[in-house]
Amino acid sequence: MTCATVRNGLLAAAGLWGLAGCGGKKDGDGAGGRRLNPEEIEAAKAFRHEAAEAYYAENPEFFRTATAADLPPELVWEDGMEQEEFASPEAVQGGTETIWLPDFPRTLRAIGPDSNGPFRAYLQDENGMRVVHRHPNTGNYMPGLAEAWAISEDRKTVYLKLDPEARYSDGVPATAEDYFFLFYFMRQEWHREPWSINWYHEKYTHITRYDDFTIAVGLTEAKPDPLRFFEEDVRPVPRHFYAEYGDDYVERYQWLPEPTTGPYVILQGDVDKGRSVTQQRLEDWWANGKKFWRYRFNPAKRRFLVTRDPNKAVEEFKQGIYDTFRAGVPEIWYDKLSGPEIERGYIYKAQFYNEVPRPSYAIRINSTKPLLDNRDIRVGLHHACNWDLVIQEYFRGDNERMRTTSDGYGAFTHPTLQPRGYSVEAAEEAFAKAGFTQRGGDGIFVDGEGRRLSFTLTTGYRPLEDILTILEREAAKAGVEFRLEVLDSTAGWKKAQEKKHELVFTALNTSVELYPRYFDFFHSYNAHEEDGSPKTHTNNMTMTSDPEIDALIDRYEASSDPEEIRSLAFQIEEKLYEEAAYIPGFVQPFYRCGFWRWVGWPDGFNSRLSRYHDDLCVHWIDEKKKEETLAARKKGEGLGKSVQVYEQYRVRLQP
Amino acid sequence: MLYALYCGVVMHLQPGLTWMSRAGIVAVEGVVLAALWRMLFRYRPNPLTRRKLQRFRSIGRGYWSFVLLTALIMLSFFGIGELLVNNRALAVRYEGKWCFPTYGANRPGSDFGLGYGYETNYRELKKRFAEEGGDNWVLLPPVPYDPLEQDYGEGLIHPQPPNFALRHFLGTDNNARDILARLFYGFRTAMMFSLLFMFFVYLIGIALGCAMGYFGGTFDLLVQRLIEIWSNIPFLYIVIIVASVLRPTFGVMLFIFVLFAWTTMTYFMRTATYKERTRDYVAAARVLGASTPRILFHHIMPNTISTVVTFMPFTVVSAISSLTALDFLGFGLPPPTPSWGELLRRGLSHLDAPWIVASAFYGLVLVLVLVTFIGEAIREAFDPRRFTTYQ
Repeated sequence: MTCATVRNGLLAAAGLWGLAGCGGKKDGDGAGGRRLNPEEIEAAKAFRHEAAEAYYAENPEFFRTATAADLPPELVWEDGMEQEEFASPEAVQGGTETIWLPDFPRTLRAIGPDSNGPFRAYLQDENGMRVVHRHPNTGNYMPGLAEAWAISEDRKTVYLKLDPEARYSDGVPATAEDYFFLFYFMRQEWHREPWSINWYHEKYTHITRYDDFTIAVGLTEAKPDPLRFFEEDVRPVPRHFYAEYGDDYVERYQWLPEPTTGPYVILQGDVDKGRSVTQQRLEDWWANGKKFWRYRFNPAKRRFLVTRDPNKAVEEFKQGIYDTFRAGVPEIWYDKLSGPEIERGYIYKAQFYNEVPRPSYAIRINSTKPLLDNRDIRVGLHHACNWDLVIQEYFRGDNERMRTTSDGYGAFTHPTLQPRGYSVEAAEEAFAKAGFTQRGGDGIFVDGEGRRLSFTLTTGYRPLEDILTILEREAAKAGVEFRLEVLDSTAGWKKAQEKKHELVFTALNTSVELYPRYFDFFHSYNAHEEDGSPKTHTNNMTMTSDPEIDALIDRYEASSDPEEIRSLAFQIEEKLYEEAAYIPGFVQPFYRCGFWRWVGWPDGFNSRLSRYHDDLCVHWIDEKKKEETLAARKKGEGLGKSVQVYEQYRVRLQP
Repeated sequence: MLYALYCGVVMHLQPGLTWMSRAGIVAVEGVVLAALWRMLFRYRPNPLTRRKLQRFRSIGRGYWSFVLLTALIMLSFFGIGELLVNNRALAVRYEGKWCFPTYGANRPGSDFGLGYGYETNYRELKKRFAEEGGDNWVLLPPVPYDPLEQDYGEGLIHPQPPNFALRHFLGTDNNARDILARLFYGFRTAMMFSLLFMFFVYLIGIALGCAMGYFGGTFDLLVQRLIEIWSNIPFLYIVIIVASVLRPTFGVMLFIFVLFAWTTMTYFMRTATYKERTRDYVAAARVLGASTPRILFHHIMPNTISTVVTFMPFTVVSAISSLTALDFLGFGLPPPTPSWGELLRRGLSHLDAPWIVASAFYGLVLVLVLVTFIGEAIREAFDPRRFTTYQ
């Protein structure tokens, strides 16, 4: 749920620092992977974490114990089992999947410095189980570690019946005790992630244990969708593994992956630092036969290979080293994924349209900077940005213009609002209102006081710099100069977080949520300190500070009625459009990939809310087909080209 | 020559240049022009120098490299480049009036009845005039493209291979910009950078090196230690760090490069001066009452300068390669500045469009080979074993 920057920049930056990781030594003892023997399991079950228990005793209001009889009788338990399965029963188990990593993971820890890298998805997010998961077709909840759940009438407490079969990869069962430990674990400063400390202090009011497999967690605020606070952030933390949890956590657990409740585990000797990581599929994974979990996570092994140059990685994919490859970038999709491998049908391509909130690529205008505090100039800047040309030329017409600050939220996205389009006349008109009527010798507008319409456009996305050069050339026609500042990804992000930018081109990653967020991005609380100075390290990069918008956002935050939330969201969007500090960029309404012929997919390719081809792990490797394909490649035989476009979930944003 | 200077000055009004680079252009042109002036009208080389120059001339490879490189520099500097590679027309005849838009403020399309307030697209204007068939008429430069502008043809996917009909003689890059234009102006950037770099490095290096050798003692000792410490700072890392947190303009880059490069020269100058100052002619000059600066610059320097001169071309080579390397890594001049390193980077990530990488590669090799040949010839011509400079 963290609003991390989209990490495109990493791909570029990774190459330089690559040398640091090349130890070449087989290392990492994969502590989380080893299956314990029965005595050890018994010992782990009985293990009492003294420091944690002392902490529970100090906070009796938060850590509560009750008996099963104390459960409110009126609770309505749900289990989501009425929903359809989304994986395919035809899936073939076994085989090895090889996956490209742009950079070697800097740590295998679950949390703390560097743990939020690209490998995290495979280690944690898409591998680890949470209490509930969102069903990728319906968007409603389905069981994970919890068999059933109930929400109290005031929508502030969630009751969970945990699956008694759930166990970690080392064989130890995951019980209520480990959920207690989660809060102890996260609230310590030892993991050095202040955001998490804050989250686990502020969002939850209590955790109650009724028995080993029944708990309740209280929330600070009533929300229409309280399970949103559970689908990513509530998970059991194996207390027996963290017996020595202390202020040396970051170093001590650097290369020790935590025992996981998910299907893949890193075993001893499977980490070749700087080069590769291998995960093994647990044959007797506890959720193997469960609805929604069977037929998934099919490969018996996942091998992650590091190649720092993306262009080289594409070539490696075409050689057959990787089984699948993301091809969102037009150059990969159109130019690089072409040639005999594709024509002869060894490599297939698939493009999958769906509607989910996607990274919000936009230019955010710092509305407190000189000239930019004038709304007319901001409106002019909207008209001076030629996104259509960017989409036409850079994305080859595949992407779509983003319409609002929060596209992709279904009914919660404003249905009619349209962004301001590129128009030199409209821009000139808006600038004229602000007193800029004369162009200088270089074609840039100058006002009576000799001020030029020249702004620094910052970004941390080196790979996307060509987009900015298109915008820069087109803006010059409208009489605005953009001085491009392409920084390192961290530096670019920091500059915007410290509100030192004039214009910043960046994107925030969004997770699949029911409704958009506004408080973080547009509330004055996140714009200014009490003394009026800019508030740093918040995501209000437009520095929006408008009492009316504040009032709407406050009501929006407080509301628990979906209808009201929806109407407020529309009002906020309209206000933000008027404010004109956010220039919506583009969205890619699909994802696409190339894959070798031996990779199998369910009918219709994937589920409605999938974000990448491999995030739900519903694909499989067919070893028989692999042999067949490789033999055909050797002989140069054609097997039939296949480029599929799946449009069953396509939503057209523009009329 | 006055005309060239005039063109050079007017060129600075071109959009897209920072004031630092404008100042840079003026400085380089000033220095070069002054040198030319002196050489052509006032300079009477002494017999020794004349012999060295003759020797240089007799080394064919070096001499012709020098001629070729000078020609290239002359073409790209002094505003002549704008007449060859530019998206502005050389001449427009519109409704009976002549107009020469190459230099000076840009002309909005409305000047030629195009109805827009931004700079005229002369290629379109030419097409339009041709369609209308009247007396109106446009003369475009041989390469009618600007290094920054994108030329999206309808239905074209970029990069486009070389296309003579569209006058993209070396094709376009993946951002639809003309490669020849970028190569040409990238050459200007690289040469300007390296010449300015050389000027500043030698200015500091010679002054400080001479002072160290001449004064000796504590001063020498202290500056030597300072240089030792200074030269241990890893230059490339500093540049990368600065470039990743700042917008590294031409001036900033030059400053950082000079900041870390002046040390090498001091040692050579120090040794040479150390040797010279004990000679009789220096003592004689001192006895005659010459001031320290006079002794340093009038008597010692001409006798040590041959060491310096032989290093010059190699300094240029190293400056060009470092700048290109940094641009290649993405830590060089800010986009959309045309640069060779950036072109190489693009080329390598688009090996399916070999004309990008080929243009950048051959351009770079050509210039570096030319400069190296010149360097060899100079070293040969100034070889002290063949001549003596003792007076």
